[in-house]
Amino acid sequence: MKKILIYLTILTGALMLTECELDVVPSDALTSEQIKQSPDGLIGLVNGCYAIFKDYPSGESGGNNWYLRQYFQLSDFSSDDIACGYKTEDDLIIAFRYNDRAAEKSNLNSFWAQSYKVIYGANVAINLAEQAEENDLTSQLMGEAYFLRAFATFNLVRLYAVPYSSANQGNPGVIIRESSSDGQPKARATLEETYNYIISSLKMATSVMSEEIPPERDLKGFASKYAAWALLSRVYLYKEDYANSIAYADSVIDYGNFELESAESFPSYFANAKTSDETIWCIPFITVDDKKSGSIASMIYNGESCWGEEGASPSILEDMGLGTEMQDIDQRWNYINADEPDEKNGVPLYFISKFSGQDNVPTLSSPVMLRLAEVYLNRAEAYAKQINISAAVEDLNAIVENRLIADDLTPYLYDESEYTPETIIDAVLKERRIELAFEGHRVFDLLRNNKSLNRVYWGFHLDNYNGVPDTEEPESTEAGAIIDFNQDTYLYPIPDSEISTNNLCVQNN
Amino acid sequence: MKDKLRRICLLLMLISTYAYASAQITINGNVSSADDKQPLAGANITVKGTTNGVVTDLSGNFTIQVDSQEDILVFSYVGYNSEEVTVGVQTNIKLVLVPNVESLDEIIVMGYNSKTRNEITSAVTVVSGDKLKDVTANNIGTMLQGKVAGIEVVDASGAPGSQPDIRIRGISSFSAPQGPLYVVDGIIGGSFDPNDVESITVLKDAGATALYGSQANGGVIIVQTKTAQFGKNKFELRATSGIRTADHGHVRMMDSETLYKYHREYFRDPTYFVVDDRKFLAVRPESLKEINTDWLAETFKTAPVHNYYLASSGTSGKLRYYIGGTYYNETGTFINTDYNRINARANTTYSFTDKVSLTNNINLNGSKTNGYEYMHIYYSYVNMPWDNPYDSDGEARSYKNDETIWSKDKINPIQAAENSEFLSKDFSVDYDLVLNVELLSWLSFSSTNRLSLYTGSSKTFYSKKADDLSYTGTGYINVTDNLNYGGISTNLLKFNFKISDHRINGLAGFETQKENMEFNSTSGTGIPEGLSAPSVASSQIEIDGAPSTSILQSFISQANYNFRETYFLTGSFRIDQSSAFNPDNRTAYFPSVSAAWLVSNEGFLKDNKIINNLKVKASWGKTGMKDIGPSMYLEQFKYTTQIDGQSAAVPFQMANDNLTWEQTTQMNAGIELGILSRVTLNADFYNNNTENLLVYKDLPPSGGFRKQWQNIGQVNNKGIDLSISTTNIATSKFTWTTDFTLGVNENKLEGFGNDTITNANSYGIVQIYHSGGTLYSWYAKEFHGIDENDGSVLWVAEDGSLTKDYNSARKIEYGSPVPKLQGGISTEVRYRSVSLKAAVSYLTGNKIYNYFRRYVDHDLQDVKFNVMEPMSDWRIWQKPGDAADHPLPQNARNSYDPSTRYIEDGSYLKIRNITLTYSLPAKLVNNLHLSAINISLSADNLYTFTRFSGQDPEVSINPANVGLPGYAEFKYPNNRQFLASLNVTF
Repeated sequence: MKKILIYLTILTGALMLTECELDVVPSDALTSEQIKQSPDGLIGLVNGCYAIFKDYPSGESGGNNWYLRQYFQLSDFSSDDIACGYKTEDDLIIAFRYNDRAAEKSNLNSFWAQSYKVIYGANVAINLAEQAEENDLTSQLMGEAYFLRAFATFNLVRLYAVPYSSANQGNPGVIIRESSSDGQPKARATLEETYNYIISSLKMATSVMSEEIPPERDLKGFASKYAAWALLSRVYLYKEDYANSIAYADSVIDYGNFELESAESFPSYFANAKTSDETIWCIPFITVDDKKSGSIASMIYNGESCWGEEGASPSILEDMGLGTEMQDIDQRWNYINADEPDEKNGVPLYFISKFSGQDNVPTLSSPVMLRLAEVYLNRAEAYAKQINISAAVEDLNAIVENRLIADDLTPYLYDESEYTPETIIDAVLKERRIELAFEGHRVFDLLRNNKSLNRVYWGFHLDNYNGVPDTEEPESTEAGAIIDFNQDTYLYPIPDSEISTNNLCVQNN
Repeated sequence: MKDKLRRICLLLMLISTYAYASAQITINGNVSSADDKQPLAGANITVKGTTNGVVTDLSGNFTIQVDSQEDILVFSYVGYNSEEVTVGVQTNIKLVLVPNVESLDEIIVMGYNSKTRNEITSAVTVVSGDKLKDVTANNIGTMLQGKVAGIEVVDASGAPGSQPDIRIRGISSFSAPQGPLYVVDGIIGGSFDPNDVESITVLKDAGATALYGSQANGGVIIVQTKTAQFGKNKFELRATSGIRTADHGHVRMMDSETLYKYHREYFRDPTYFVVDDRKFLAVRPESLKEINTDWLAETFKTAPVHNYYLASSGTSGKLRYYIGGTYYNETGTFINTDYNRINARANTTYSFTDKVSLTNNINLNGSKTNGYEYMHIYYSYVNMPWDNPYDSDGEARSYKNDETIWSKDKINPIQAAENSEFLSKDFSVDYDLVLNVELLSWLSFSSTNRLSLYTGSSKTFYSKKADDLSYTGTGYINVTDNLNYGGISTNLLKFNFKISDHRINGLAGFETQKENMEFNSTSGTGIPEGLSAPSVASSQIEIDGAPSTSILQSFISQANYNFRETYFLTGSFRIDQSSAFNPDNRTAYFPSVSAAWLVSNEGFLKDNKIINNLKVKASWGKTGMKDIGPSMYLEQFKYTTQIDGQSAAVPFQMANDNLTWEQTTQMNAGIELGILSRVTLNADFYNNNTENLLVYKDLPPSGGFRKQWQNIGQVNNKGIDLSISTTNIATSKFTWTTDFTLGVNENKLEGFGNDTITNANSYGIVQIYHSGGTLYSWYAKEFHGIDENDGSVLWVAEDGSLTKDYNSARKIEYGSPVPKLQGGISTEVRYRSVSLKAAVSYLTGNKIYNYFRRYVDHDLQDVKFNVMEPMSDWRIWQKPGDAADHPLPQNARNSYDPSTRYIEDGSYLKIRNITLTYSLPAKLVNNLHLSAINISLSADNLYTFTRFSGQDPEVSINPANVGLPGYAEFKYPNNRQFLASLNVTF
């Protein structure tokens, strides 16, 4: 008896002495100390920046808020390329309806936050790369990080600030975050400062990355020196620096191993963007990344898990030659279901398949961020602005030759003699519209060129459309039909989550 | 600190091993009980100062050998006062032991120790098992509703097996979970079945809770499970069965005809205000009215509930035991939902000697839940009455790919629920081992230990034919296995002296808690028809899983002093070290002092006929809150994603090395008054100040993160808890008693400086914090009303003028979901063997954001959602001059965006329970060789009086559930419950 008690007491005493280690670290994350030491640190971080483009924000396991969905909807749905067949409760509706744009909308807030998360991740990666042993791989990763923060910042300034012009370069751009320790409330930089920051980041990217891509990173899903050049050609075009736009387009076209898809192969391009020679950079999706009803395709395509509430607008269909022989000749029609248009609430819906078909899944694609055709068209626009009609026409024809199938292409090619210094830009814009349709360019093409937005067709972009068209076409005076970009009320508001936490950040008018 | 801990441990061990260290005279005798004169079997007889001892046989007889006549025999029996007898010349000793009345009637279990009611110096409420039994539920929270002053119990969901939120004395934290700490049989944590509960002690102030330190900010609920009553073997059987119906509150969805009429308004021109019937009829043909589906009637059905409980308890010699088993079965009111639970408990205590006892308690719990998908409930409300859920064979049909369907998402919730599965299985084991050793007459050692294991598996499955936004055609399966295991060990030295009128007792020791949490989850799509196992998934296969650990090490001490059972003083001190924080902030100290003066024990009141009890008490102390999850102070990069199949790390959170405990300094002053043995009144005033609030603060997202855990500001909670119990009539045949509880609470934020902190959810609904404000205040654009001239929405602009532009509307603070006043009233009338009980609970002073209305009161901004029938005082604008609160649909821009429009008064009074009980006559019962039979009928949640227009003003106040406390979306409706119960004891 006595012994038992003594043993029990000793046992409990021993239990008590078992000391516990109170330093506990997470099992699914590396801490800032660990990530510096880990061989998977820098590469993991850079990869993480890409992942943000395709993932739901942390803490959300579904829904509609993820970067690329917003990237395409906030731009294309506010252009004249997409018709809206349903007044959804989804916040995407504010892209169509300029008067309903409230700073509280979840898509505006989510896109903003995810953009800056990319920038934060890139800044941490740059810092790690600076401390790491220098080799081809770390230089490449550092360059990718510079590229990614420039890309994210550029997309912000396009959506949340007025378009750049020499007259308004002092206007507010967006908030610049130069390092990961730079997280305090901060004012918006000017447009000029914002563009300079984007350009200097891209130049850093080009200076540290090599034309020889290290094998680990030689995939279309990772940015390269060529991607930085291609983005520079775009950014300079927006900044009205046409010489530089042309110079960087030249670099891509002359030194990059890229090739335009042929007219024959183009119809299968978007489903296979990850392996195409035309792709400079895409966001690579694999099957687990399929967002199904929350995918980009879901709203504009009609297949399993698709809402199919939006389609190509009458305006772009007309430019593409609906009802003409162009429907057979121009292979770009393959991405529009013109044979069996659907109809919702009086709005004809021509579904779009640029974001479908990877692995034959209707809601899966690897969205193309930069491709060779755009670089040609950036250069064409820059030439047009420089009134170099022949060079512009040559670039336009480089596209047309690879998109049309006809026994004789001559009648469909652009002819230099038909254009004047005033009209050449319209030819470029039309070709850009058709070639780059639904890829997030159209509304910025209009803005950059001071064109107003003309949406005189039925759909819920009209403030008071009730689902029943009265006439063939709405009156041009219908609220929402014509948006004059000279007023700056068309801008998206800076998200409420920023305004309410950052007293230095001014709201758009 | 670690070294100090170790040294004290060693000392403790030495003391405990020290204490153990024998003529031949034969003595015979017999031991019996003073109360019923029956022999006591199993009483201990030892020779003092030796280990020589025997126990009595079934007739109470014993024989023992002693060395000399000087030897002293110690007679003891649990629950009786020990007696010492010097052998002298006696050879036959007949002894009558007197029951220790104090220990049976007045002991209040306080967790680490017990106190008599007199000794209590802090705010404590005891609820006996009998008072809980009127309500049948699978959890103790629902049973406590309205019975304890200062406790708010919120049934945030009526889903089978769901647990309510409990808040004691208001809310003292923004984002942290703040439910009370459960202490089962003296050990932190653990599971139990409500049927096994002997009593509940609610510790409300730091005078009592500071002993639980960093886990006690939300108060402590001490659960004591049943043990045997001495000398009696008892069996109890209780069977309860009944039905439940869903309580949709004021919500009635429009029927086909009503909705049709309302849709006409959508075609009212925004400038001329006439309806274009040509257009209307073109797209809304009259034939729509031919189908009239009442979705709520199709998806919510009357459902059965059963509860069976069988228990046995008794004593035998040195052994006491209690065995209880419960089977609880609840079918949900929503289709395809149910909950089944089995709980078994065995409590045994073996007394080796009167000084050494060992308790083994084991609780086994297994449950199976058929849950539901939130969206299926959602569809049951928002789907259009113009769609028929069934095909010609009466089977639920798929809406997918059917262009004639009106309902927005084309999902038939009946078909979806029938072709999906949300099954969870949970199993838990708690094993308690408690060793009590009396080392010296004044010193004892106790080692209290528990090993816990929880394992669960949950399955989410959609067949590929299920209507779903994402999984139709592919199917989906997810199986998540959870394994949590851990232990807690508390080792205490307890002392107890009495020197003339002074009595000092107390305890000191150490406690270690460690919990390991693991989960593994597998999911995939591409599920062949007819199968539903993870192995058959062919695509999108994903694996998840990350274990985590939390550790808490503590030093515990408490001392109690009283003088003449009249003046009482208690002090306690606890030190906690938690793995949740940075090493520099890991240790926190939790002191407390409390005192009471039992005025009625003073000479001048001793024999007072009117005042039979009067006590005043006061306490001060500190508690803390650490539960924000592990590693929240560390900068983290999560490797939980990939890009193109390569591992990728995403910034998850920023570092905050300064992150520390939320600490509350609590003060309490109270009075207990008993008059004429008829009226008892308890009133407590408290003033609690929580500092270093753990705020999941909104950051400028441009810095890379939307939120971060920070310690900012403080919140002050002041209030009064009042409870009055009266025996209005007491005769031998007729009694009538009433209990009334009231809690008044006021909270105020301080110490934010010029900071204004907002917390927004993804819909842009905001709560705001600043000095002088109240917790969880809504902050929203000010809705003014509807323009009489054109039926558009009017907002109030910054300068107070009216505007139609939502973006220029000003934001204002608009109330908080924290109630200012809450309580309950219960009454019982008994005539002979029939009793009738009724209980109501109420609360007021809170505001709820009724986001539910965005989907069902949307001014036809989305015409494919059904609409709720307007409340009696709502008006829809139709023509100039109409005073309305609902806009013309075509002019309704932004009407459903976040604003004060949907923020509503959440006051309510609920009839919680009415129970009628009949006890069968004793004669009849005795003829059946039973001791009691009770039959009762009860109704729970009978009716809610409220102006709240949503499903139910009981809205979750737990930030972990909803992000924003007090935010109402679609909830699984609460239940009305009608039960019949039979209770037999023998």
